[in-house]
Amino acid sequence: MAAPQAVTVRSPGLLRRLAYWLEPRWRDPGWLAFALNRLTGHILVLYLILHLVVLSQLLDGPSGWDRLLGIFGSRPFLVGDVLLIAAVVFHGLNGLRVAALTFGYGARHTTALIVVVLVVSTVLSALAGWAILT
Amino acid sequence: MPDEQIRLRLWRTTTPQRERGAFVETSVRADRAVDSVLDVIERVWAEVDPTLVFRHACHHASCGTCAVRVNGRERLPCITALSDVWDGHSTLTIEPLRNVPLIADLAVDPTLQLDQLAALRFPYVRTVEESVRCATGIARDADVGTAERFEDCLECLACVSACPVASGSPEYLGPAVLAAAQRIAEEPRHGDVERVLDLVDTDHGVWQCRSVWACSAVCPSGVDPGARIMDLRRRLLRRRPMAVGAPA
Amino acid sequence: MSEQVQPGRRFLGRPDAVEPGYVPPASDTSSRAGLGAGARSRAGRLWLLQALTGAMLVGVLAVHLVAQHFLAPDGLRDYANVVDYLRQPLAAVIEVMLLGSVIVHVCLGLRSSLVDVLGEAALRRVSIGLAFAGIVAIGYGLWLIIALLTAPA
Repeated sequence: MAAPQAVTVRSPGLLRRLAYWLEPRWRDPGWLAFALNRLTGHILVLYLILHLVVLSQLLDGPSGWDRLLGIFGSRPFLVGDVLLIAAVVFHGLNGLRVAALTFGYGARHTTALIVVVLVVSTVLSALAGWAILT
Repeated sequence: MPDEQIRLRLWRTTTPQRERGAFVETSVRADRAVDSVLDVIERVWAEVDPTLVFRHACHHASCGTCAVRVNGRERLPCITALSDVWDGHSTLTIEPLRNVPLIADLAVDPTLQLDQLAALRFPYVRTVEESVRCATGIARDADVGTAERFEDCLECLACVSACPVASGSPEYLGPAVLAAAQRIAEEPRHGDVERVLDLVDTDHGVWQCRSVWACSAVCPSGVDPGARIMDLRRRLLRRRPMAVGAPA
Repeated sequence: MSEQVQPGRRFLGRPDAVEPGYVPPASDTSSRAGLGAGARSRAGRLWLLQALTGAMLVGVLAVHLVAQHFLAPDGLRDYANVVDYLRQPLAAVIEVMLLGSVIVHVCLGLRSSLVDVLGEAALRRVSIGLAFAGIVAIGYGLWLIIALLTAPA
């Protein structure tokens, strides 16, 4: 029996590790949910940083903020909003699914629940898109 | 007498460095009616190239030695019927497991993971009354759950190979070791549960699982490591600071 | 044996990154200093915090999106509208809850991505950096809210 021992870990480079991690594994629906969760999470982090920076314009009072509203109300920004809402809805619903697994719910139906998360996110995003763009 | 020819893409390396390997194409005779994938691999070794390196022992899914990736999926070739993975025309791709150090060709070195399993001090010798009761059919239905035994794990490491987290993070304990830890917590016998829980209660232990469930999808023995990792988490979350009556 | 040797795609699998015999260290008991034996580890507490902030976000982010965009005229509030909204106590409380939970959730989410790609030493350094960035972001957000609440109408 080998006793636990301290051994140097030779780490592969960061880029190489990312390459392993992102390798598509389409046969596992869990991989798709995992990859989408990571992707949407990182997109939302970037958005949050932008959002916080843009909100600083509120400090300039109406002159600073109201000038921006015209830009944010333009078509390309609204389409971006719909995509962001899709990312938020998927990340939120999938997050609930993953957290529920830890508490013992959903382990027997992972594939079905992933399909439910994808369908519900699509429907909610489509409704939000309809509300925003029309 | 096999009368079909099967085309194979086999991963071949002469060094443990996977980056230096490449797919090699060959073909052998095959009989879809009776052959397993392991039969085909052995036929390559016997009739085409005796230098092909692969591992196997029991031929009936009790040793877990022969696990490889067949068409990108982790399988035990000894119990994978050729007809399940080959339509008679396509090329069958066979690669070694991922995330387990390579020896050469299709053979991996499971020492690392087996050492980690040993570090759990997994009590191999267990009483078997309940499984015997099930096997002989005298168990009531209600008993079947409690007699479901982790010893089903073949330590084939298919789960480790399928896990995307294990690919990027060599420090991750991985599904096989964590599932074994859960079995000790679930049915301690003579195992030291607190010690095992401490061993897995780390950033690179149960908390690094990302619930991809690929491990449970490929397990040839129905161990369901994913659900077992979640069970370990619940046990750890039930640990309370300064629990009354906790051993010092 | 080969009929042809293909260049093949690179085999994406872990190289021999860990030497045989490597067993990760057990949970660091110093991480639960003062909490006594049998307490949750730091890793476990962080996971729980991420789950709790995530669950909280589902609620407060939904309120934020609906109130700030779907209920607002033309989908966006002008300056006066933003200030009016924030001066309702319940709205201010929800925005502060959103700020706190989203920053904590983001920091923990980034940390778990980094656990998957960084070694132990780098992870420790980056975790400290993330905690610092999180505190700065929460401070900035609170300052913004207070500035708007105290701005002349």
